[in-house]
Amino acid sequence: MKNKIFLIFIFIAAFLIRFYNYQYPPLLWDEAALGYNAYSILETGKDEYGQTLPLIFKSFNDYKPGLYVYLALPFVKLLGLNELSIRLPSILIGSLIPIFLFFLILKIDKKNYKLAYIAAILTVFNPFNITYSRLAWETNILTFEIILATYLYFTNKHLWSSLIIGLMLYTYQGGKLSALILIFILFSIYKSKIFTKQFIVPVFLLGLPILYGLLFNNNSNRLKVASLFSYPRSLQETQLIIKESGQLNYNLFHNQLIYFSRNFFQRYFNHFSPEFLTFVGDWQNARHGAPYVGVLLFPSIIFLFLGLFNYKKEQKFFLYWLLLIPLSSAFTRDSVSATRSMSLSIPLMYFTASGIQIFLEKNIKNYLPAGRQAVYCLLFTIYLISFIYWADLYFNHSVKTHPADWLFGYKEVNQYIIKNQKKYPQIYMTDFYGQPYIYYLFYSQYPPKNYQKQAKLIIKSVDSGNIGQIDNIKFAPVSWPLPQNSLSVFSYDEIVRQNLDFKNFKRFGNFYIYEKP
Amino acid sequence: MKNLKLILILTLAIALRFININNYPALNPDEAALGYNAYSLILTGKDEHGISWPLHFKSFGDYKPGGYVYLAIPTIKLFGLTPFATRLPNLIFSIIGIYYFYLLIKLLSKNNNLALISALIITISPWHLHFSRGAWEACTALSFIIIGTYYFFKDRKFLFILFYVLSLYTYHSARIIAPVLGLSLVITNYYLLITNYKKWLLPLFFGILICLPVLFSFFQNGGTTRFGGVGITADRGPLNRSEELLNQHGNVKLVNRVIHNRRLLYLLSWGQKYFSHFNLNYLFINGDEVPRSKVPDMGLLYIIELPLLLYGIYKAKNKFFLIWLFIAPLASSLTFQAPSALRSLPMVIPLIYFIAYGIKEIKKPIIYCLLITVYLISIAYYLDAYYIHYQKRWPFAWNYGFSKIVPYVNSVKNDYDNIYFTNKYDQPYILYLFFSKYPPHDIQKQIKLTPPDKFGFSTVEKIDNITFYIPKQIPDKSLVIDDKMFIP
Repeated sequence: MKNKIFLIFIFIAAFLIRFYNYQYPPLLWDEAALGYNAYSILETGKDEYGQTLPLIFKSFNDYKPGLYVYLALPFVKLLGLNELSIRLPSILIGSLIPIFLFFLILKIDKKNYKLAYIAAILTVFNPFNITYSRLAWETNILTFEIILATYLYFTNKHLWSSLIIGLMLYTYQGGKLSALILIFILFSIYKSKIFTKQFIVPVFLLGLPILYGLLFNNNSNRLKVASLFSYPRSLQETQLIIKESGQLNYNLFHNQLIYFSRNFFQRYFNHFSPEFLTFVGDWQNARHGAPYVGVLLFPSIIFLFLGLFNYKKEQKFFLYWLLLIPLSSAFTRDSVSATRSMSLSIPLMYFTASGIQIFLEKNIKNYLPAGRQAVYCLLFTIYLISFIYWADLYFNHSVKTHPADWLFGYKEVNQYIIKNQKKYPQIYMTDFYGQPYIYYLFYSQYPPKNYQKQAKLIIKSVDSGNIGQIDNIKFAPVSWPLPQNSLSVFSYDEIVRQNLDFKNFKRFGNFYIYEKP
Repeated sequence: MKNLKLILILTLAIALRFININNYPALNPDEAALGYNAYSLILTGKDEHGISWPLHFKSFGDYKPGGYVYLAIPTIKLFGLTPFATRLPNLIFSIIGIYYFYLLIKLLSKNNNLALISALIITISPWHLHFSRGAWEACTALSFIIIGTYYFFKDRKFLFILFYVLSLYTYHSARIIAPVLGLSLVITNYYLLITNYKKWLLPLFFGILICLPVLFSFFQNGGTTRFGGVGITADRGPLNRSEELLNQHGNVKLVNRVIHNRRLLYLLSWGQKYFSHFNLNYLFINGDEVPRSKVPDMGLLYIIELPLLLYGIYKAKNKFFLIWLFIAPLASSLTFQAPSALRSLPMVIPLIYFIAYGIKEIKKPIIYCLLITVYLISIAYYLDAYYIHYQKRWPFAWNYGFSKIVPYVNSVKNDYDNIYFTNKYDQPYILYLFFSKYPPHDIQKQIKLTPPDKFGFSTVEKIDNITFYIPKQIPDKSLVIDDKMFIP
């Protein structure tokens, strides 16, 4: 009974934090695409390109796995196409993560209630989980599925567990591989009877279409683009090394294998660096968190150390999770990626909680017998301050610090365009910030039937492309001089590059509108 | 037989540290300053600035602790003013340090094998090896700390205090690390203190007595200017960030002021610097960012040591070395250039201990063989990076070529009215003084430091007819020495 009340509280707290001010930060491209595809399916039963109920959505030629779109269907149906309906699945599932983590810990750690409580509370307030639960990130769903699948496995519901694992394949591109590797290794640690018919057959059946896609479709090209191994040492650098020492020496000590493995380790270690965890965060992409803070709250790094240092054999499951998940992002070109390694947050939380537990139980008993309450209060205060500090940075500063990264202004500018669309025969919209068309579709609730006819993706690279025109709106770099009677939307850079005067423009976030009568 | 292994290890240590030490790496300005000041003391009893027997040497305005200069006096007297003689004290003390490290581990663990492995690993450790080769005061100070720690556990109080205090006289960072480490030694072994506190009174008194000069120097100019220059507050980043964040709030409330307080931001900046020393990329892949403190494409430890280290930490659970590990980056984290391999050098001791412990715990002979192979490859890789690529990749890091150019300049010095020397490589004047064995009497009369730059460093611009920068207009009859060409 006590547990139930606790869990309800946890869920409500988590939900409120994730739901609060849900329109912030501005919608990202992928979110808009997921939303519009859901809308399109609801209206016509087809995606934006006219495919009937696809498992994988072409979108910007990046082939998004489709689970999220289908999860969003009921919400879009009920609430219409807006920020809330597309983010709500992630918000809800993100709020369930602490609860299922609670159950999972209890399953593994033999009724270690204290640890489960601490971990659940930590997860509610953890920046890593909050940032990915507030937005429509597929990786958040994947994290939840990993927890759920393992939990079901440990409760001996193999069939359900295998179904969830099958669903993972349709959830998120980047984390698929590592999640699978992880699950299989974990299961082989615990029980050798993993290859039961009940378990393996559903996984295999669900995996077939993906396997088919990997083998016979060209969308596996994306793997090649993202892979670390597609970026060998530059020729110049190679020649420098050869000049320093000669060919033989190069072959021995500086060959590609050593180069790649150094790069690999560098990326792998980045995910465990104090900078990533608490002080800087994902430095490759400002969209992955608040500025100037990491993915954990500050005190957590000390308890994480403590928790890992006091590692016990029963914690093997979480240790493997911790060590294996960053593999998949270490094999890609980005030096660190919070998105690809989001499920790392769970073992991080687990070991931090374990560190706190050890701190409270052992160290206080041994060294600080008198001030027990004081230590609780102190710990609570420090965490609270740290959380407020993070919340301030996230809610007040992230968009202001990196307005371009957060695509600030797409909504406002599109609302303006939609209002004035009929006045102008020609509208020019810059594509400087990428994929402007999807925002237009999203905010104008453009009838999917009409759009499906004119959807022509111009493929730019292996994993991206763009749409050139919808009705009278052209999506392309905008340049002076402009034709009579037109509305144009510039980006800041385009104005500066063309030496134009800012006075003549109306500003909407990153965008500048010029109306020529 | 037992000793034979130790002797072999020490021989290896000597070999690795002494090979071609006179020429490689080339002398850097800090080393030259130490050597030249010792030379100046021998000949005149005063340092280059004409101060008699100072405690801190003004040098480039960075007030170097004097211990190393005094250590270098006998060697320079014996071998003359050469790079080898300047470096010899550190070479000797690094070897002694390894020996005492062996003794310390043996004393603490009562396990000769563990002690031998530790000594072997530190002998071939890139981190320790790098800072043994050269007149690095940091390494000498570390050796003092090791020796002092050994005597603490031997219950030789006077020697313990003597060596800890000696380290204070040798290197800036030791002034933070040695007292904290010493204190934690005393606290964690407080029963030693309580049971015979009477015996501690005299050594403590002795310690305070020999500390006095350093303590006094803090109140004068010498001890503290250094921190103003390279300390964490010299970094304006947090200050600017505080302004930036405050500006982003439309109307600034008190809460915002508290949250974006610069003191808080400096605290966070300190935290980041402190923890950056435990970044695995820093330790195993990239090393320090300063080219003088690293070799190309190489971390501070061999990557193979990572699993051994983790296993060792997990198995050993040694509180003393853990405390040491967390104290060691303190000094380094208080400077703006962190992580710094040089200032956090004391970390190497606990790290090596845990690595050695990890190796000791391995039971299977196959893994041993594999380990030895990988180690041999790693050492080859390191030596290749150190001896072949290092000098060519970053020639500026160690001021190559001064030993050749200076005699030439001296030989033609009187043929020109003016000689202009590039100041692209920092502090060329001291290298000129060093390699020309310039009479200290003469320099003391004419030395004049420039106003300090933002890091608190100064330099000397003119000696006789040699000017250490290149002006825009070059008068007739002058010799210009740039980094690539001569223009007579």
